[in-house]
Amino acid sequence: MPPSEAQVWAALRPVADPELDQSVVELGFVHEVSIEGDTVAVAFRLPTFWCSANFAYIMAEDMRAALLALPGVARVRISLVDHFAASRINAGIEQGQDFRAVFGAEAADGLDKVRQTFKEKALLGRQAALIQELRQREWGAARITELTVGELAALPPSEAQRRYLEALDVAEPKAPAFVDATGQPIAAAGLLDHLRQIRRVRMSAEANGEMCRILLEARYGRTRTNDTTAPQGASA
Amino acid sequence: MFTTRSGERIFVVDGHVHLWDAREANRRNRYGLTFIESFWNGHMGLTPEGERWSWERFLHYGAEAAAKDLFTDGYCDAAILLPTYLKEFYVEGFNTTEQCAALRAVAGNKAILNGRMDPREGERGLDRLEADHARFGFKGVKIYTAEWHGVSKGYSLKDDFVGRYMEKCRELGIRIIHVHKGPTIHPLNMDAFDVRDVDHVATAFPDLTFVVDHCGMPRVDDFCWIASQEPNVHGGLALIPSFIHARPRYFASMLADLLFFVGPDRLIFGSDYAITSPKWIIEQFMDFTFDEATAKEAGTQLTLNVKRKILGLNAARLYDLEVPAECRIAEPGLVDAAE
Repeated sequence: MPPSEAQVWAALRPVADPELDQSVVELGFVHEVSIEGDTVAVAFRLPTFWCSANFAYIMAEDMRAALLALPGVARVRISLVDHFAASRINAGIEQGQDFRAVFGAEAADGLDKVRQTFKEKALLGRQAALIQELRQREWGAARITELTVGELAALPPSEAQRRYLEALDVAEPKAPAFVDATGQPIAAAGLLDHLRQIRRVRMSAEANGEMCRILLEARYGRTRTNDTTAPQGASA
Repeated sequence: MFTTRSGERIFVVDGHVHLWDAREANRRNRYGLTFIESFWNGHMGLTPEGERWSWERFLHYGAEAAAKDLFTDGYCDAAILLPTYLKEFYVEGFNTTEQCAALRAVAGNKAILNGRMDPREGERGLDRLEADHARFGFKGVKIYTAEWHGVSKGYSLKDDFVGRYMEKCRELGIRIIHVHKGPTIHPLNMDAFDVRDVDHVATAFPDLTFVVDHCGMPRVDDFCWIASQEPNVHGGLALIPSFIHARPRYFASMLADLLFFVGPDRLIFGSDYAITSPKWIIEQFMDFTFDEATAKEAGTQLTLNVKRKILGLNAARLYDLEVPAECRIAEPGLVDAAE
């Protein structure tokens, strides 16, 4: 049985713009999905004609993978529109090709390094949000830095906690919950400095996200996507 | 010159302006159109409704109109022209030194004309820089690491052919290197927005000053780190002040981080004219204050002195501009460690 439209949108929602660490659906990048039998087609668009091909490729790869994981989906067609590398990206994704195979000599490296860099930034950005939330709940520095992954997972659920644990991806419950960019635990005395450092990572990503929204809206107007499942105002 | 309601006079330097020609006749290909369209979307999205231009004016406004927007209506005492050639997209170039020189013809010394160089041009490029400098007399040059050049879609300041160009600047007495680190074109596999290569060249040439334009946006976080390490790296704010109307909260957050990590003495105002214009930005900025939490994040409130530094005194110090006595402030913090 083919998936419903709602299932398709729900599958796309966790796919993030790696640079912004925000959902491609909430950003308004995905503007159309259609289902025909076992084939799902997705059209997406970006804030400028010149947005990075590497990030566009990552998003397209991740959308394809997310949709292929849905029961009843055998084929996925991703169409990036209005972009300098659209035809190459679309053909490459359709054939499941590696970024390097598509861009040849123009691409000296694959996407692994870029993916890794932005995974690390996303982790730190999400950590900043969670630590701020704990501080707002009057948690002291020692209580925060001594927290383990297991204890964090057992806390009453919150969005910041869920997003951080998802990015942390550590199975060992006794491991420290909060580590710095090099994987070292954070000392209680250094928590505020650490927080000041990682807050700028989060701020930068958020401000970039706003720039993208401004440009996307100027480019396409306030046109709604055909996502009927989006909560009101989600992409405002 | 901006005068506050209570009569204080503020010296204003717009550290980032252009005089471009994106008219159809000058466009080489569709890239020329898509490039100016991206600028246009920025203009429309960031500019308050009553201040927006027509598409035709945006394609080409000319030196007289620019002089009025900057010096008559826009409070600027000086404006720094940063050329962007883009000859792969535009027949005569988008915003060349030659084109920018038209503003100097209209506004005289108020228009500070910077040169441009591309280290990928080898011997010929060095000769060209020397000849341009002999003709125009530059204090600064602009480099654009993401510019197309034949088969090259960009380069890094770590590339070994870059050093000779820095040495040539030193020899010619060009002490200020503007590095465009902001939105790029045709970025491919490498993170084309990466600002970390600035660190390399700033360490190797401590007697030159590097102004990172757009503060590395979308990598403001990395820029903050590098600038906090390298005293000869300054932040060219252009694009960030343009947020003040459409996204004031994000303008405040970005500026707070820059003030905290880089400090008030190394940030240079820029309107990114003509994407956005100085008049409304400066009016809003002079009325702008941080809320208490943001001031704490920044380590300072946006005091009149901080505004004075950002809007003009920092650029005046860098470019050796004469500042009227009534606009100066005397405090030890103004003397930069790098100078």
